[in-house]
Amino acid sequence: MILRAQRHFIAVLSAVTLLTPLANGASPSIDRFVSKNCIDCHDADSKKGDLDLTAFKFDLANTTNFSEWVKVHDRVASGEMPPPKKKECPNAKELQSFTNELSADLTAADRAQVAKEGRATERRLNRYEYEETLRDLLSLPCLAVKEYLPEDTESHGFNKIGDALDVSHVQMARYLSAADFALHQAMAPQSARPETHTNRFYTWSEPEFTDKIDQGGPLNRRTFPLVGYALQTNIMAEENRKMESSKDPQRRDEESMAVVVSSYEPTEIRFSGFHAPVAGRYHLKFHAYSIWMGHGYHAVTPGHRSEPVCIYAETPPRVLRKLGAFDVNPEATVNEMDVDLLAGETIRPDAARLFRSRPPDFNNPLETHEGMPGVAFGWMEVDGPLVDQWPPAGHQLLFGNLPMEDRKETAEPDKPAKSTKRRRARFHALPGVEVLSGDPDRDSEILLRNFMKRAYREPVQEEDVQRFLGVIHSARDSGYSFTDSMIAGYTGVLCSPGFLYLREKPGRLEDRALAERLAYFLWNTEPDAELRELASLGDLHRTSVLRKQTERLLDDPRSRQFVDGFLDYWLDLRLIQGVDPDAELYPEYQLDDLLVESMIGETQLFFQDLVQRNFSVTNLVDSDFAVLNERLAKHYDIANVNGVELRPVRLPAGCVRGGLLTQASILKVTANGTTTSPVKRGVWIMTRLLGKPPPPQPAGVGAVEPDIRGATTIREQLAKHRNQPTCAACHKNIDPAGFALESFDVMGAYRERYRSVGAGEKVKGSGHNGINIHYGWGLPVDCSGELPDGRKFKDVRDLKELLLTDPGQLARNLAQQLTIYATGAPIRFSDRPAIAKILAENRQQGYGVRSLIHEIVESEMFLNK
Amino acid sequence: MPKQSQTSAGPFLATRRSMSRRTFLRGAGILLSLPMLDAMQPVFGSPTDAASATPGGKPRRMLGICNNLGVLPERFFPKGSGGRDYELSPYLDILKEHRNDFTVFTGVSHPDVDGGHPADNCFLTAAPHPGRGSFRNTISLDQLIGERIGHLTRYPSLTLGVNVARGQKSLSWTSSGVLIPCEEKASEVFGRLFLSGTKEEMDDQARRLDLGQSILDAVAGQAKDLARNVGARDRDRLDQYFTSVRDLEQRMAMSREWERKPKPVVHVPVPLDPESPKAYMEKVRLMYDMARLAFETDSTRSISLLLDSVNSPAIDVEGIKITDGYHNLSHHGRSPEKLAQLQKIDEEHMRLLGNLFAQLKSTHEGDDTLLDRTMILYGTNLGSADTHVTTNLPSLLAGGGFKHGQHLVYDTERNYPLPNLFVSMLQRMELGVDKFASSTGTMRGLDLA
Repeated sequence: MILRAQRHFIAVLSAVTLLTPLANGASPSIDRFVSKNCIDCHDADSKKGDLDLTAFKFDLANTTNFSEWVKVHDRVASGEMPPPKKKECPNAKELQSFTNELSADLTAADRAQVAKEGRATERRLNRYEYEETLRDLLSLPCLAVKEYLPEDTESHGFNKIGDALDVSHVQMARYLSAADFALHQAMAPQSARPETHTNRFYTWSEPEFTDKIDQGGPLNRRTFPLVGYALQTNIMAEENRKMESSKDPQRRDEESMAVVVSSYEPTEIRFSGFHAPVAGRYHLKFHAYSIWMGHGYHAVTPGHRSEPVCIYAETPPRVLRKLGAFDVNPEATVNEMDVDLLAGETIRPDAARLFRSRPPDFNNPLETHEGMPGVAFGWMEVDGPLVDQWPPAGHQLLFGNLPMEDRKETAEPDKPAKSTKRRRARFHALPGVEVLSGDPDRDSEILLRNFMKRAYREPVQEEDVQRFLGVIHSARDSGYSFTDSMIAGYTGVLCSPGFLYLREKPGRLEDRALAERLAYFLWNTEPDAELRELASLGDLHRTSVLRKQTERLLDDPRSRQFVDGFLDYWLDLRLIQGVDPDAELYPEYQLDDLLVESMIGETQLFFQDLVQRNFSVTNLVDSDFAVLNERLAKHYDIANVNGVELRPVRLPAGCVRGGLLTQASILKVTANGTTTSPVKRGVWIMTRLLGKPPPPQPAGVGAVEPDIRGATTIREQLAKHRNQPTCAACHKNIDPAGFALESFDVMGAYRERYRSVGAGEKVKGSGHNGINIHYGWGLPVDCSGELPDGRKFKDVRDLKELLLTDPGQLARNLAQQLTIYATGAPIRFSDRPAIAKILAENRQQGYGVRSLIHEIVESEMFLNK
Repeated sequence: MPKQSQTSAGPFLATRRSMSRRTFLRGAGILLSLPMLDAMQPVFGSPTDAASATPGGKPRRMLGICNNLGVLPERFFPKGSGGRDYELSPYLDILKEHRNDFTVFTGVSHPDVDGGHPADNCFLTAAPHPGRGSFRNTISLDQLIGERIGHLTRYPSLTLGVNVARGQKSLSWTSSGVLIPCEEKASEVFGRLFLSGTKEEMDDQARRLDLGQSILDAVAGQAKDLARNVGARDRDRLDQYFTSVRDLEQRMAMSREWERKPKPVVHVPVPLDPESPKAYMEKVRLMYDMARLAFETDSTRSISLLLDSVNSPAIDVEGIKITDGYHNLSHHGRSPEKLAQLQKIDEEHMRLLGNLFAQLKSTHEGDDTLLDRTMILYGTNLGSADTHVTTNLPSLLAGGGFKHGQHLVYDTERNYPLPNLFVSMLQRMELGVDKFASSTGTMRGLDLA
């Protein structure tokens, strides 16, 4: 009683004090509304929701204060506040006039801020953009410098926000090394144009294949010499064998080395007789066929099916770069690919469907009592380097056509290995060149001006030329060669703010800045010559031109860099390798590189398809097709998809797949390696797909620890938590989508029962890593649920239908995500009308994703800083 | 013959790249060989980390040793449930006079580091799945230390190896996953530590630093000009850039100081490198000497040492005739002859380690022995070389200022994460790190002295 009386007294007291305005700077009408309707709960004593409006200024120029008032606006506008139970609720008219006025004030304040400094803050290139820009600038398609640079800070979900793209002295030091490295990569490795050769590397002459014939340990880790399908048992029995491919061309073409495992330690087959002598383009051919190895390894017959083979470029020891994949058939097949290689790289094939033979069990899951599948490799033919100009384009940018001579070899040549068994060819790096100048002063200035004009994306200032000319001169004065001095100057240019930062002035973007924005949005790299030309003519901002250029950029293969860069953050695809499936619960996924690569590829190609074919955003929730290859189709239990190539496939009726939600990559990044959590998946879907992020987890509330012994399900554990009213308020919004996705395990395979390491019927067999399976079947999955509005669903198919009823929200979310990515700035209060306009237009266009991109590019947000 | 064609563009466009030291060196220009710019030798953390690295001026050091064939686990692990009064195992009995200077662990491994032999690449990094196509290594413990406090000593770190073919393997990896080749000759390590370069070499290095400074001056000048006519938020960005450049310049200046300072003088002869890889044990002894001398003279605070047993022939060990290559021996299949030889080899390893402990204990620095300030992690990437398992790794930590003299026993079925030990070590160095690779905290049961 006493308490209540006290509170009543305080309420009266505050009402009295409120006869005078809050003195907070707001207009009288806003002040009146707040005093009358809000202050009871949001005063210094009650401070409900941690909000005390009596101590709260109306100071919209202050960003924290501004965002608090936005919250007030949004809560009132949504009808959440004042709470309906309050006795004297304002009427609709009062509410409307309050939100209108507040909204106008907020918009005006926000616009004033934007007018002064712009939506976006000046930002540096992120590591993706830096790498792609150097690749384009220096014509080095495989240049790898991203890993030199520290990870960029994520802000508002992306690596594009100026305020978060920091620079430290570590970053600075790494820029210097990255630039120096890239510039040296661009230089000709020798003065003479390298000759193009066509060479065949026969597996019978390749020690990495033949050394494994008598390898210790389980027989399935060995390699097997074949002629056609005839197993060469005599060679296998020989001691101190010295294998060499036959001189007889006909027989030589039939010789091959077979494996029944994929390429993994210790059976890491590679064509180490070949090392790319220089970086560049090569044409590769592989002669291979699939086989069937009879039980006991005594006889070989033609394969029963085709086998996928992935090709990697390898820099010893074991730095791998995937080049491509193809299928080999029971009859000998020659597969060809055009690839870019780095100097010194060799080639490793991997028959990816075959298992990885790991201790202690070494059990081949593909083996039957009749034998097992395998792949026989005959030869690899290399045609290259395919040189279209010498010196290479990057070198010409740096040194024009000045004469050059080979540098003297300074490094000690490698001593031959003592061991006699191994005869692997070793790569000898070329010495590099010294560029010669008869008039260094004149040449250095011409070259530097030319380079800066190309590297800088805006007109070069004379004082900047002088700065870097100064670096070059001081290098030469202290005794460095012409070449080294130039590289020092160029290094400076590539580490300078003029190169690293995207420069925009408040207000409407100049055409030059617009070209930058467009190129970094849709290509993740610098504007090309055509964009620069249009910008310099002042034509780019014209709607018809801008539209045409957007089309051109999207049609260009480089738009894949947008797709990958955007999805890496929006959908967290970059994190997919982060946590691996638990070895005990998920043996079939162990060391299955092809599966993971296919999962990533599916989502990238799916989104690319939406962009290229202007499919509706509703496809994000459900689609009648999926991008599959055989490995993924098997994972999804979809029949009749053969081969390793990913392509759009029409889904059978009633299939749970279709849309992003049921893609393995998404189900993987929303799980850890052992268990799934409806909460984690629910939050992710609300945030990333529906654009309705739930409030942050309250402090002091831990996550539920899942139990993998099979006694209880995550849903039962969560139920306790959800039943508390304070928790239920948020969880009724968060969990439903997560419940529907309980039908999918940590790698996105469909399940009706959980797996358990404790109780339950045991499963037999062995995993992709050859280790025996130990898990058993656990409790059944319950994937039904209810949306906050009361609509029920029994599984993910139902859920998708319910989500599809609001395509506008899907479009709104994607529009906001794309806008943040494209403009490098978060969505602000004053952006709301622009977003609304985009959505209205996009609706007319059937919510097409490509249309959405056009509408964003044409929006005020994109066209202004 | 059917013919198929496919280009490399498309669904399988490679996304992961890295580069080799070899490519790297070939591409290296004058700037790359600056100590603080060499991506292989990342030197700097943030200045605050550096300042707090040696509170009270007490230097802390780390030596990480991996024998990539390990030791016979049944003779290494003590029996029982652990504690301070545990019974020494046969191997640890060789270290008995140092009993209170080390902690031995049972039931530890690096989570998800599998793949058999390639796991040695991850001994100090704990990056998962070293054999996998998408594998990329991450920064190693020694390099992280070097990056944070490397500027306090002449060398941020030393990367050493025994019987590593052409130096093309080591325990040290940069944050970009690039291998740092090791020094395999004790005489060359000695030269780097104690023999002055020629005047030309010293001038050359000074010249490089001048050039680095002239580049930094140019870009700083531009940043200053650009910051003139922009709004407050944009200016803040350019100011941050400008500050970073100035920070780096200061560090370059410190590096120049090192170039001018004479190297320490030690009164020991230049070591003689054994000719043959058979002299494996002698090479191990020499590398231990080099590590000790480097710490004694405070030339570095972070050293990694890979004992590449996999790459070693039939080695010379006193008192027994070794009949087979080290690697072949390790696949003993319980053959009594092979086990007897392996046991002799392992015992010799323990003796050498014991000698190193003794020498570090007999050297004093301030009020402590050198061992008290030097953490020595001795371990292996294989739980048992016979079966290539990468769990239950035989490992111990000696010295460095922990409460030792105990046997810590964790779950041998579901191992305790070894990266937690790395976090404890980093915290002992007061680097403000609370996470390393797959760590889940600090090492349970291991307390600071």
